Amino acid sequence: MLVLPAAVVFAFYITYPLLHTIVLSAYSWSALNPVRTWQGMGNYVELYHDPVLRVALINNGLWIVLSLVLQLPLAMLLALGIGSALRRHRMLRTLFFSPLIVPAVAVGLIWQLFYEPNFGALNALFEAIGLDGWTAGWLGDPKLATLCIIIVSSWRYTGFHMMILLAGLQAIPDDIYEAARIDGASAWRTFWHITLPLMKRIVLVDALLITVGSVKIFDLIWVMTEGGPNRASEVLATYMYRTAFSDDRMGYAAAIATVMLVLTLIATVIYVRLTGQEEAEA
Amino acid sequence: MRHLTVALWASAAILATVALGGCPSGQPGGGAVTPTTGESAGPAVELQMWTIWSAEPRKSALDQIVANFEAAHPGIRINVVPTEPDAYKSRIRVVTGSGSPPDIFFVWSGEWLHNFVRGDNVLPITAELDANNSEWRDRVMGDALKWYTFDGETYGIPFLRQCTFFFYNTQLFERDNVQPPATWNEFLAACDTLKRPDVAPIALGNSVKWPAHHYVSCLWQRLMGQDQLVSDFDPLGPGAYDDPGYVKGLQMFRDLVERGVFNRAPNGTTRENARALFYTASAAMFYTGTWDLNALREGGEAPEDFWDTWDWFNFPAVEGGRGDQQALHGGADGYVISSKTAHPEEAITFLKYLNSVEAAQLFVEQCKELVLVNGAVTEQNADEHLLRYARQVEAAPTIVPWADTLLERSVAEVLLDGCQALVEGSITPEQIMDNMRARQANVKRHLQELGGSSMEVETPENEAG
Repeated sequence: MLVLPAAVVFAFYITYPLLHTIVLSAYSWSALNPVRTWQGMGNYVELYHDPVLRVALINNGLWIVLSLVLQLPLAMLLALGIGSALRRHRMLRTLFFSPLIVPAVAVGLIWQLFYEPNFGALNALFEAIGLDGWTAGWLGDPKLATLCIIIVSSWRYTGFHMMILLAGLQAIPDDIYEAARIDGASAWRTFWHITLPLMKRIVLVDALLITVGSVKIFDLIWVMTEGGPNRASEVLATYMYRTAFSDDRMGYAAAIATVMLVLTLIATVIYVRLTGQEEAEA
Repeated sequence: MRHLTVALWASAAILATVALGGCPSGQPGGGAVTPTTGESAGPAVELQMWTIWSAEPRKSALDQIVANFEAAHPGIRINVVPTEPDAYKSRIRVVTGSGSPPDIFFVWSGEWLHNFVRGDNVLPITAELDANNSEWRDRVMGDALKWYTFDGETYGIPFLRQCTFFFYNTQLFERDNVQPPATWNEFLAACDTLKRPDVAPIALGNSVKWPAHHYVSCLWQRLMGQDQLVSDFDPLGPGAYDDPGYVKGLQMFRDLVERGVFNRAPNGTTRENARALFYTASAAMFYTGTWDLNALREGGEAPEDFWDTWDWFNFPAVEGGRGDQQALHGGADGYVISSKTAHPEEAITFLKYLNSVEAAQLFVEQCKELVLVNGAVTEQNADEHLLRYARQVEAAPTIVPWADTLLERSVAEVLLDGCQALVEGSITPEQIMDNMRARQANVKRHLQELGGSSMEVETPENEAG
């Protein structure tokens, strides 16, 4: 009975809208017109053949893989480096964390100027060191736009993940390391056989955070390219937003939202399985 | 109100997912908008008015007009809610869909307004415009009301006239001895002459997609004429797009890109940065709207030595085109009254005042913009740029709206995306037209299920061909 208030709130704010989104995805309707027409699976059939959805899915996949590859090892390195001499490096810790405090809109606009093709810093830098051939349209180049934004996102979030890993590192008792040192274990062996196994849980949690964040990513893309040029940097969230509020196709947008929901669920189930396994082993 | 709940929940559900990932610029929790329509605080009737005039000097000008109105009408209070334009587009949809829209709200002319009209969200004011020998209707300048009229009913008033022109750097033109071109071939020749390693003939900031489409939109009008466009764009019409002018117009724009007339990577350049390229003399021309006048003239963001070194010319005539070669291209921003308002009479009283010569002159005085009221722009309240612009609009045979304001929203997006891809060269003109046809057929099916009306535009007699 004690969970009843929480259950009611959960049902009201989470479960009902979620189920309702699924129901609405079976209709074709406009926010400006109260009349809805039944489509059945029509929206999903169209989604299946939709080239923009394919681009968005591939981009979300890129976001997940590249964010994991760029952010996790870097965050781990930073955490190890800072964790080894925490007191002295308090300033550094703040420095790495600071990009997260700056609002996404400001981050997006600053990096947009950095990537600016005509007078931006990046092209100017390449020209200054004689690498004229390396200059590009960056955010205006369909092949580079997504990559450019993922780099900004990694710049922004690596400090955050460093803090999470740092918390995990600090939870490992010092005497284990002492024992290892007495046994003459090298730094690499200590990391590989002590730190990493004991950190497994927290690394998994962090990986899930990065994955779910990459499925839902919206703000930086919207500020920097709005999913362009010609949809090249579109992801599920920007595509859903555009479909709903620019194209005014609410039913179709609800179908995209449902696809997002399913993907996030899959990621969560995988995570629960992984951590469950680990608990069983322990 | 079942529909109300449905719409509310849908927006909440969709927005909740987005909100988790972060909100778009300046719009935290877009769904949390709760307007209080027509709730009177005390004896006075309070009207909610939503506008995109969130920046100065328009904001103060509107505040002053409202203050003057309230002084003259003690029984009515106007509560102005300004929202930044991009956020406005989604916000107004959400509140309208949830069944509690503001009493008076800002609209862009053409299909954007038509979409609201189709859902019965806007109050027609035809009778009021025609009352007293159509005294009010005659106040509105030119044929702007045409784009606020559907199936014989007029919904709201056009207020601001925005037109696009080629703005050019007079010093760069003089240096290369180039005259403002009148025809497309002269224009191409001018581009070739003006091109230098450090000067792009034209600045194009296409990261927002619609600036490139302006070229296509104008070329289509020059090639085929307004009537052809309006009939093809009608979402309930045949939508055949079988005139070869469509592909030709797109190809002419692509040729322009291949000629190398634009700055580097237009799709990665913002509109603001393109404007900066223009006023730093890194580009000789800039195709933009009169909304940029304030940035370029005295007191604007452009450097002081630039203020007197620019001028503008109309989009060149295209040799052999069927459209009116002197037509201007523009839109008319305005205001409408919600069909759900509890106080239609008071709302109409205010709209009529907003559309009066007195209010219009005040707005011109403060903002130096073209208000669509006869007699609004005078030698006293306008500067030389505005006076010249007003004369040009008055002399124009017709003012054709840009394609993206006439096309149904999702079809317009297909065209905008297509033009962006055309800048890259990753799509052919034929493919763009195929995509538009397919999307429009889809929209047509949906509208027919709903039982919609088509856009009725009287045929202008002065359109050539």
